[in-house]
Amino acid sequence: MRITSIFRWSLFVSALSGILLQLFLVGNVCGALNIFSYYTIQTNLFVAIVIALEIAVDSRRAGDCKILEYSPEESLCG
Amino acid sequence: MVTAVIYHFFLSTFYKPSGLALLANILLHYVTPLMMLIYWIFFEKKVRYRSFYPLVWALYPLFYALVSIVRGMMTGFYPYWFLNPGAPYPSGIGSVWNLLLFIIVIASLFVVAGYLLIFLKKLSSRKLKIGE
Repeated sequence: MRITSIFRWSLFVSALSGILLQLFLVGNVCGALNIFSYYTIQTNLFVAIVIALEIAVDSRRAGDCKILEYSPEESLCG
Repeated sequence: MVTAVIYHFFLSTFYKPSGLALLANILLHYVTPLMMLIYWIFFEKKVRYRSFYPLVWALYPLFYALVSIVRGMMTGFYPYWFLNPGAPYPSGIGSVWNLLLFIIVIASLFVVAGYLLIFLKKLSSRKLKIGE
């Protein structure tokens, strides 16, 4: 679970930093919008969004489990 | 995977960045695709993949190619040389027939690669189950 989380964060940082670096290098708004015409940028953006969603869903689940751990009834999270 | 393979075999000879652009290039074309592949094979939870999934996976690149070609015909801007049927190599792919052939061959290769990946995923899931 911990390795999955670390790997997810690394993947998210890699995808996002690549896009941000490319945007930074372009330097103007028109060029920045134009780089989204490229398949590479689109797929890296999809990866960043999907992984961010997975991180959010998993951290929410982990939060739910912590709440259940404190409840007097038996924890459902195993 | 499409990103890394297409870049490596069809674009890397024409694009030689340096400095920060080189770093961005490596992150976008090699690091993220490779990490995504490793993540999908070893960490993704879904184990059951249906036989038509590789065909569905090929739809987005095909749709992207179609939109880029139509846009290029209207504006003259093609994001990649191999999508430009109106110019000879290396500025374009030469003709509409070459473009069609390129798309059919590449799409077929990626569908086959999709089936191979599902096979690898099943293999890794089985090994993980045995290891548990």
